[in-house]
Amino acid sequence: MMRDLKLLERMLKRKIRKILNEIKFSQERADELRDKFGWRYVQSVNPKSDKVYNKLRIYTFKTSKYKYIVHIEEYDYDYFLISFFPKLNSDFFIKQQKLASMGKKYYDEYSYLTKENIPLKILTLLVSEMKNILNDKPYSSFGYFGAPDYKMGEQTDLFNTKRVRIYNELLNGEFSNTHIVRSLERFSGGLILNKEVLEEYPELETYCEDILKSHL
Amino acid sequence: MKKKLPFVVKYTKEMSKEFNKKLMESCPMTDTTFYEKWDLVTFGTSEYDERFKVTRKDVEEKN
Repeated sequence: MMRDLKLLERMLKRKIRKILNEIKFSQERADELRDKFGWRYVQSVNPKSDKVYNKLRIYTFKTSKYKYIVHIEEYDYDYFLISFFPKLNSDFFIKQQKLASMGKKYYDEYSYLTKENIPLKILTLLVSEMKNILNDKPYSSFGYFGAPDYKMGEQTDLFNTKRVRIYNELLNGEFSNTHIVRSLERFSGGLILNKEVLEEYPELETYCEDILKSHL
Repeated sequence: MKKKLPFVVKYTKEMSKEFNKKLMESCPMTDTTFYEKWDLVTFGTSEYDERFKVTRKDVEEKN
């Protein structure tokens, strides 16, 4: 019995390793996904008075079930903070507010699970856009945040999800020549920092971290 | 020779302190040490592998 379990464990580990090796970015795949999901730039907006960013770029795409919104906030020193979420109707938010007020598990647009099982496809679209930004501004750094599985009204719910480890694999695979990927296990997000800028200005990391923290 | 960067990063420790102070005031946390525990690790290092490891205990606690 123990031997069977160990054998099963080894098989699973091999399978996981294989899946991780398959997590690689392909521009061809990204172009295909852009067409399939109708990826499009919507607009750039200037910040509201309570926001720190210089500009907000908004993109959108559609799956068969949901419309998604992508926000790319542009900060000083060519730092871009990326997030995405499904567009949900107002009934959803009313229901979640009620759950929150009762101290129960609740979701927001970032933590809501669409169950579409497409995070890698979305990440491929985002990496493609990051590469576009890098073509224009090669010293850019990025921050991103995924989502905790659910919220309980306090910061202790911000545990890392499996998703962020997979995100990091893909991001590191694509940007490791020019950037370092830094993450926090309690939080589904991280930084992709330009190595050359970081070498010249180590304080860039503090700046990017502070901005990321403010989105917790 | 180093390439000339298109910007100069002028973010200081004091500016960071001020930023975080405002952040704490606008969004008070019950765990006041929350931001002190903020410690990013670099992908691919042994520290990253250790901290991102999922143990049976984590899964059980989560369930």
